[in-house]
Amino acid sequence: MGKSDIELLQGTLDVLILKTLSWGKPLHGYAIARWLQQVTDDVLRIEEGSLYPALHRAERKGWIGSDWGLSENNRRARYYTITTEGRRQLRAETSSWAVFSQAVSKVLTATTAAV
Amino acid sequence: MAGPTWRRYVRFWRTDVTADVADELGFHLESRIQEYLAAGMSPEQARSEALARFGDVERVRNTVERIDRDHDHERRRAYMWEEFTQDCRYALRGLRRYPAFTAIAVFTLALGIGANSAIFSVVNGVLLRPLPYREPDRLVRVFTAFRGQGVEKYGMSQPEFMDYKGLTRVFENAAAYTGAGLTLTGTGEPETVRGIAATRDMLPVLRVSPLLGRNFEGDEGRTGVEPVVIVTYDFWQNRYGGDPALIGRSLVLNGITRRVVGVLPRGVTIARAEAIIPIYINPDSLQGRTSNYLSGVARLRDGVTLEQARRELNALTRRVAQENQRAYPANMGYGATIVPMHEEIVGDVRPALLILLGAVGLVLLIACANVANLLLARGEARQREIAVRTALGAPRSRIVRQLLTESVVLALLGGLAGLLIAWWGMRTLLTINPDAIPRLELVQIDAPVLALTFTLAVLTGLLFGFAPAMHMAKPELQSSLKEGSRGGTVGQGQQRIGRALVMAELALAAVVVIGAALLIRSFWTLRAVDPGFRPDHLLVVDVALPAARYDPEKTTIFYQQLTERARALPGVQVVAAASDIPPLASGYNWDVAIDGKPVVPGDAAPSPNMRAVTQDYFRTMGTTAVRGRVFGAEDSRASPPVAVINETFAKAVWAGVDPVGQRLRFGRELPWITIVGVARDVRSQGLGEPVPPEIFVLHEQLPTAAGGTERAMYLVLRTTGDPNLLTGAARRAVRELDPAIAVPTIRTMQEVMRRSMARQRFTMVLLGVFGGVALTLAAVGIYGLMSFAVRRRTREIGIRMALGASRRDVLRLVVGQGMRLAIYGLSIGLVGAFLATRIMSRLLYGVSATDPATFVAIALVLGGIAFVASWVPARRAVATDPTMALRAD
Repeated sequence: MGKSDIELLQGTLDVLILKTLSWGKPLHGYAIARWLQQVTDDVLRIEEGSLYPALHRAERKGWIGSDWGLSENNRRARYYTITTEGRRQLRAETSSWAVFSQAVSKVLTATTAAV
Repeated sequence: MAGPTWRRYVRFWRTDVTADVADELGFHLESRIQEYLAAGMSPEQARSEALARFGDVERVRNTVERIDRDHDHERRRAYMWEEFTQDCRYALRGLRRYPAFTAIAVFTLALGIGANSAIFSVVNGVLLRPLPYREPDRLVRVFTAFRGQGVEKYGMSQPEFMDYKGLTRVFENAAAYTGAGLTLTGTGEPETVRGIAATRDMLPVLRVSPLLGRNFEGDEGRTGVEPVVIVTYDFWQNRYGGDPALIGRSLVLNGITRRVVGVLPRGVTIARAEAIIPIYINPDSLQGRTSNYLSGVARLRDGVTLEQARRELNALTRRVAQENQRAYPANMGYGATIVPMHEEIVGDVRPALLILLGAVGLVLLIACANVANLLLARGEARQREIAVRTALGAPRSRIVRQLLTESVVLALLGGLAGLLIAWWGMRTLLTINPDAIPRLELVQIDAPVLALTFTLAVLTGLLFGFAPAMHMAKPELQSSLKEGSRGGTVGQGQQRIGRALVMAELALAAVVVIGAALLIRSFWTLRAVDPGFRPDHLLVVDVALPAARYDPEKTTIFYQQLTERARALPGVQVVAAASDIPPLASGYNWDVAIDGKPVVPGDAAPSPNMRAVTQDYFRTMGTTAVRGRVFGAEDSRASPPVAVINETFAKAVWAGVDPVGQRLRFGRELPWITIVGVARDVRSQGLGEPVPPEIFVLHEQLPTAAGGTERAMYLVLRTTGDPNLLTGAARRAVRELDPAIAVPTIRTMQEVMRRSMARQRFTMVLLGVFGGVALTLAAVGIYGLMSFAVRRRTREIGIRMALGASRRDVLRLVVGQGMRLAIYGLSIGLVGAFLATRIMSRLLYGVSATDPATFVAIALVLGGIAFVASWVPARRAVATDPTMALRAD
């Protein structure tokens, strides 16, 4: 397995997918996996299979839509696009993530001991 | 691979989840393999590396398929819901656009559905709701029968009851009870309490445990044991405000102080009693076999069928009759009858209710036909709209669905209004006629009634909407968009539906109206029956003396004084007291021995109904003697005992011989009684019931002649003016003699007569109303259909007249066609009525179920309606100028 296996929470994977699609370009699952891999320098090396339940769940929730299209090599592939609802979700998740990570790093960099 | 191309087309219509997921995951894996191959891996390595990186393909596939399938369902459901709400919105908008049409249709349907809801709520409350006891279907009522005398249900004597109770293979347990008129004193005004005296096993048989306190115990009910009483929940609530301290308190009932030991659970009662006192049957000293005063209730053992129980009882009674030939002469046909308890309570009303249910069903069908007709007529106006929708690509199924949704919405509105009608109707029924039907107080609009109304509305909507919807969605009709005008003649399909509706309405109306007419005739026949006495200007007062304080001597004196006091009241002509009065006399049969006519061994002795009366009874009732005389001043306590008999008894025993002067007696040790007269027959058990043999004995001679007395009597006053004005004075007369006597009911004889016909009136009024509704709906419907058909033919009529046809020819043609339909419809209806009314024969009195006069009269009425319905529009059509008619659109 990979060098650093970080357990991904399901919610986190959802956010990553939404972020990936947030540029507006329709992407198929393989492209999303590859992009995540590149951006994270292979740190977040997920089992690629787990991407698909997350994608379909997000579609059921209405965050993303899908359509069949032809891939670069002329194969039938399922392309995903983000919906307005998905963007709203991404914004909400991003800001709560910021609050959360700030709080955690404050704790980790604290200089005074607990009383 | 992407799979065969056809799958794509399938996918265009509906998603193929399995294939899609396989394609998607396959694409991923293959892309990854391609990449590894490009990086220089061997095919096997690339493949296994890609799979490893992907994880568990099978699991992912399953998860994703599941998600997609759920998603698919949600989407489909949402789509259908949206389509449905859209149809509903569309329907409501359409109905709003035609308010007159909507109002008429909703009102018609409300009548039909409301009548059904109302009758069903009665059927549900009275027939379907189980009795308030545990496992009520195992409970039976047990009777002694004397089949040789045509008596199926008679009271049991103590030894008979013990015999039946001993059939432990059949009965788990059995109990007996008898009616007990109770007067409650010591709490202000004396009050009457409906009571029964029951054996200790009554509650265990019914599997009822008291809400408070306990059941009877030990030998309670035996003389010398502390008197106790159990009361019902309602009695406890209404008279003691639900005070739990009532248990242990004492009530003075009929002059006896009884301790309250139990309160029954809510809604539970036995034979409508408010209080139950114990009776003790001593197995070591049973009364005689001919003292039949007990009513029996038993619980069948598990697995024992009614049939088995009947067989065992028959075997038992045959054996007992053999062993007791003196008590059971062979020609009496001694036996026993068992009837499921529920049936015993409601069995009498079942036929009437089921007939009413049938009638409202037919009324609803007529309403359906009317609304179908309205829809068809409106369909004319909507053809363009539908054609437009079809042209825009709506498939026929979609249009049919939308039209049906409209009908169902219409029917639901009708159902809602119908519930209001049902509710109002039920309340009216309950207030007008509370005694007509047992358990009527249980009738209410509850969940089952609501469910039925809803179902009925939906079914009704589909029923009346189906033909018009199919018709309107027909492709050939949609050419109307191109034509933009009506053709010269009417569409065949529409005509066919219209004709079928006319015939159906007439046929259905014929059945309902004939049924109603028969019942009304029967009711009038019954009312016209000569009761044998004059029921006008009579006031009836119930009086019952407690045995504890009144021995025979005191009883005689009380009633003599009471009649004297009452006679002295201003406005009173003549007064009498009687142990039983028409038309609701129950009375006991007393065996008599006739002087000079010894009973042939094996034969039953004559057993007339005995009534104790005071001197002026016949003069008060207005019943005359046909032979001899009635009682008079010469008869007294001290004079030799005399009796008056009725014609039926005279005929039964002294056919062809004058009974006056003959003698009879009630027992070996009792004196002979001389018959002094024969009185006219009186319908003492109801106007429609046969007259029983009767013997009248002077109340004051009862102790001598019959060795006992009668403490519960009716005081009857014949008044000069309105008898109602004397109620107060009559009550005071009783009170002045004994302030501890309750005077529960004072009614006029007219009221008693009216109540005795409550059941018949209930059925007649309802069926009459339904008959009226059916007739009106059918008349309106036929007129609508006929005038619509004629209007559609205005142009054709114009052509005919332009070609030289006279007005009479055209009139004859149109009316003739209408009448032909009427004759077909009525023929079907008469055959239907002939079959249907035979079920009614049990409800009819003095009228045959297939009474030709009624059939002919109703056929003429309906035929007349059909004639007017086709003549009026035809007249209007021929009255138009032919040139106008030709241009008619």
